[in-house]
Amino acid sequence: MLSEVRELPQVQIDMTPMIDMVFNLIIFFMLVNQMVQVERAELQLPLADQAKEEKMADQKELILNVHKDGRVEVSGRFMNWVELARLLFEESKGSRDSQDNSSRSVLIRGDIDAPYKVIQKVMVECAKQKIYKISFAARIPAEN
Amino acid sequence: MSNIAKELAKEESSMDMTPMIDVTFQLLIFFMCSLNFKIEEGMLMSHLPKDQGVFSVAVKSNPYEQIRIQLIKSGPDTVVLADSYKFSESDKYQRLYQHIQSVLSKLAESGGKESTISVVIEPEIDVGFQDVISTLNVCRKIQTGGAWKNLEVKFSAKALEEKE
Repeated sequence: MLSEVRELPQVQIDMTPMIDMVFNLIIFFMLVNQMVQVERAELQLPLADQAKEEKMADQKELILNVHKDGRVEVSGRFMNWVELARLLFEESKGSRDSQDNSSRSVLIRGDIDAPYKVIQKVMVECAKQKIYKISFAARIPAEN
Repeated sequence: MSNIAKELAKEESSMDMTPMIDVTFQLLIFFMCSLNFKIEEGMLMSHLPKDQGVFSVAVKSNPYEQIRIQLIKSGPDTVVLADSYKFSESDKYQRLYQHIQSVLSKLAESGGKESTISVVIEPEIDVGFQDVISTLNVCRKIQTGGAWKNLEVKFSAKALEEKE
């Protein structure tokens, strides 16, 4: 009996598929991590129970983050009003219809304490560049 | 020489994969832990009025065609003024909702169910964004509740005029 056990061949595990998988996972997490951080700034969003959940189609919107100190951040970069106007012009240029209205939509992510004057200036800048589709990001309160 | 080379070539060389797997797992765990999971975000859809907004439009005085909601900063709190009613307690947005509902039901009784009502939100420049969103939320609640078919929500440009 013992001699039979000793004669069994050595078993080796092929590590290649596991290493492939682990590398795939690393690359996935690296990319996802960066994208989420760049587009959406860390803000405390206002609460609204009527807010609708975002659909995949909504995620193509231009995201404008308004911090509580009034600074406007787009894709990780703080912008002044001239830069913002230029960006909105560039964004709306390619999507104008026959009446010169842009089909581009903008998501305004304002902090809970962001002053309204800044939010309104952002809305006015959008309207000046013929962007009329606006949505506001909000947190949906957890149901008790 | 050639014999030694042949012998060397025949020898099986195996690479020790253990350190690489260790490092790879460390990296994987680091990225998993540092990942900020996207917090579930909702959105309130809105449309800016075309050919308005930049240049403010004269306000209509008929109270049945327009409900004006003023948001006024009063110390740390915000006071909500709707027509001649003032709401300042913690349940102000619930009371604002009830007020708008009662205005709409009065209008419905007088047979104006089909007319377009515009709600104008008029916040002061230093009002926090939460109060603006809460007011917009009340309007959205009335729209989705089906209390009134044609309800328009507008933002007043008064605040900007004050600033400039």
